[in-house]
Amino acid sequence: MRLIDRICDLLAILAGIYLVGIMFGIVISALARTLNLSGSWSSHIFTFTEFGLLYIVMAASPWLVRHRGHVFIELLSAALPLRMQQPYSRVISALCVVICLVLVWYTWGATARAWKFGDAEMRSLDMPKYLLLGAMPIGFGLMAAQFLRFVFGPETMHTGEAGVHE
Amino acid sequence: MEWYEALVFLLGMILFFMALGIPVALAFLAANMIGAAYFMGGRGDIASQMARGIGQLANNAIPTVTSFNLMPVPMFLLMGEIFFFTGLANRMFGAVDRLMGKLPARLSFVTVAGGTAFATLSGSSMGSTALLGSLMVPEMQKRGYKKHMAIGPILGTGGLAMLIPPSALAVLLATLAELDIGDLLIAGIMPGLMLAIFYAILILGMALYDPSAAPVYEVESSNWTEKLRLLFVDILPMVSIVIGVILVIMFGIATPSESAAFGCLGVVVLAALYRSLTWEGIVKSVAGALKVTTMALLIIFGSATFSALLAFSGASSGLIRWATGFDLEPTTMLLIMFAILLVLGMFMDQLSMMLLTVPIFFPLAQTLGFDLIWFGVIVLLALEISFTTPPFGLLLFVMKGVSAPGTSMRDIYVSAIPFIGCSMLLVALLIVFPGIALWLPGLGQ
Amino acid sequence: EDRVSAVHAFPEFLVYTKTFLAMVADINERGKGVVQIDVRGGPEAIGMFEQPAAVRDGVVDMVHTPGSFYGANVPEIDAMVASRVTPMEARANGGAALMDKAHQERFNVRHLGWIDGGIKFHIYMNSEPKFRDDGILDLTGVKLRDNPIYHAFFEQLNATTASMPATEVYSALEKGVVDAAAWTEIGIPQLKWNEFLKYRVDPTFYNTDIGVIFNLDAWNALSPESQKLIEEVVIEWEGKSYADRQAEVAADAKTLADGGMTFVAHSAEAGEVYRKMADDAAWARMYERIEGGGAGAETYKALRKTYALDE
Ligand code: NA
Ligand code: NA
Repeated sequence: MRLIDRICDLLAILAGIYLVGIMFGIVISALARTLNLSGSWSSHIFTFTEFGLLYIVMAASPWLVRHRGHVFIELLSAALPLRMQQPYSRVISALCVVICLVLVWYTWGATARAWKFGDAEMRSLDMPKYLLLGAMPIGFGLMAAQFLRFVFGPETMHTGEAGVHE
Repeated sequence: MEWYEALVFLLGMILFFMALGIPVALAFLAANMIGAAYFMGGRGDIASQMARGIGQLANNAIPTVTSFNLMPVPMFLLMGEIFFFTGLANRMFGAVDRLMGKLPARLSFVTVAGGTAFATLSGSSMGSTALLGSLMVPEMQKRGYKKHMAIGPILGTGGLAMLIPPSALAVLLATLAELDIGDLLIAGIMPGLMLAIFYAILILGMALYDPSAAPVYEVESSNWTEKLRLLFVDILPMVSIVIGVILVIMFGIATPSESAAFGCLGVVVLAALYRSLTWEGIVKSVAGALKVTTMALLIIFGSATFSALLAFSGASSGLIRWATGFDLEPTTMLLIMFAILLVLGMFMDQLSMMLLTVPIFFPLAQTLGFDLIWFGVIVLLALEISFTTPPFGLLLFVMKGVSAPGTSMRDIYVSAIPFIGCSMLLVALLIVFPGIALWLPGLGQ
Repeated sequence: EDRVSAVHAFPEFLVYTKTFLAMVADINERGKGVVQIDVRGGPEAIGMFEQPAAVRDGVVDMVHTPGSFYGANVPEIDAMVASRVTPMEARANGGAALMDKAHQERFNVRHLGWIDGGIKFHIYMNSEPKFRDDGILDLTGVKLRDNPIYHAFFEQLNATTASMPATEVYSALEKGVVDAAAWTEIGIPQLKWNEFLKYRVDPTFYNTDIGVIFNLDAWNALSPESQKLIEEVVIEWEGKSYADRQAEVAADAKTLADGGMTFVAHSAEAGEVYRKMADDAAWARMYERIEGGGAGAETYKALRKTYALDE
């Protein structure tokens, strides 16, 4: 688990760096266009700022699971009697693990199919689609691992505080 | 499946998964997987239907998430976080406090003014909400404002972004509905400004009704030289970032979506000049922006395919055709169309909503004898309101992401409602006095 | 009765979608009791660029889409982009059959027809075009909205290319973020880009490559009557839509000219060089993708013969 946490942290750091890179990339390519200096390279910057959004969301999501950063609505869990709340939260976390694992399986399948057919996302360059789709099984897989923490670990995902919460 | 069965099936699933307490993004994805396997699975056994349907879901996510149109969200978030964590925001609002003296709820007004300014330049209500949320909410909570005084105005002004030009959404609507783009943009100005004024009146009312919501704390009184110093040292440089971003757009150096990155860089440079740029501040800013960006984009990842399923299954077009099939008097038909936009808006993104409704609504509006520019403004308002309608409006989730721990979804819902009321009032006024929208474009002819 | 599901790439307000929907109505009318096509929607139902893979994988049976959207999978599509023949001529000389064969082999779909063909592209500019010494358009210092399909051509004209979503082009033209864009002969007045673009560069280059593709397995599952009917109607519409669009090309040109747009033309010889520059860029891309020097040599030659009329 500790290794997985480190991997998730590392991916989040890379996502953060990518985010800052996007900021500079946009400024540079806009300035290059204004000064008539742009060319294929600046179109590629544009393309990779767009792709970056997918990579960022897939890379940082597992880290965000651990920090309970994904918004959820606490309705049933808060209405339950106190002693039921912990087990209930663990069951829901387990359900999240299942959802993520199903996503891993089928997004992996989609990645393999895109690889087999040579599918490409045609923007300023032909980006092999498996390089984009491939981020999904990895991201959802690590998310599943992070949700496992709330199934078996000392903490639970839901706080169980009264009212419609989180 | 009939359209109403498909509608109940799809909406039922998403409501069910959310009520269970599954994170919103995963609730969308779970509902999508089942819906996609059913509707997009094509022919063959269950296994191949799931592979096709869920594979389609994954493919659909690529163009939706990797779209430059979303770029203002991470960039404005980053800008707001840097403003906050470098202490520049604190400096500016401290100065505003001292300059504005005892005006109650002054930071709420600053939010409306700032929101209107940002709406003017960004054209992205999500980006605008992200910026104001990450910038104002922590500052206002620090100063003892109740949550709704901070959150409400931000949710409201986020929506101004698409009424006041430049507005990418208005251009898109005009193109799809074959309206004059310039006329629709100009028609949005008066309603947009009126809405901003309604917000200001509402805030004043709320502050007078419950003085503790916006605490009247003691500020050091200051003499004129001190006030000038505050203005020139603590306020103008920060405001210059906003002006700079507007100029970057006006001079054609950057598109509105690109301008946010310039704003980010501007704040970094300013922080460096004030010697308040620390490594820790940068890391915290990036982490904060990353958190909300990821949360919002994963919801978009999920809800985009949900939109597609509503369309592909025929649920949304069935609803639209059914509801517009009645032969009722024009105002009732208008309200029906408005209601449909609000309902669809809870689950769909704005572009998909326009693609679905425009081909049906605008010809209908024409036969009903409506002025199409006026009708376009009302559609824009409906799109805006649906963005903040509980329980699913995307801006609500962005808001949740940027507000302090301990802010519940209920706090956000409750904060949003009075401001939605303002928009509704504006719609009512537009119906009674169409001139509010049509007067300005009429001058040009 | 066979049931066929279909989606279209473009929103309903575009003429291309109107053609497709009219064609589907025609098939449904003549196919009563034989085959019925159920249109599930446009880009709001399945993302525009995801539709080709959706029909290949069998999510839907039939898709109306530009070939360029899946050009990486079926590089042969560039022959339509750079074509010097009409869709009807390509059908008569065997080009359409080659195109269909390539689609079946590479993409598990049938290419049934080339709809709304014969529409070509212009470069539109907000300032007066300049020409090089050899009479070819010189875009040095001109900021041109980029598109992967014609990027290589634009580079040869020395343009400053700028990528942006189509939804941002209007305000980008307004503010001078870009000062030129390439677009089809029709549609500019609808987009209102002529509020800013005041010059049109002649001659045209390239062709729209919008086609109807059909999942091969779903096709084989159809009854022979259904197959025959769909094939027939699509081929009829190839010719009909070609003629209809030519009328619109003339109408839009008149609208633009009446609105004050100036048409600036190359000389006849320079114009031919200009068109050839564009075509060569498309052929070169195909050559590379299908290994025109190796395994794909025969296909490449046959496509050039039928679409570029090489001797
Ligand atoms: Na705006
Ligand atoms: Na919404």
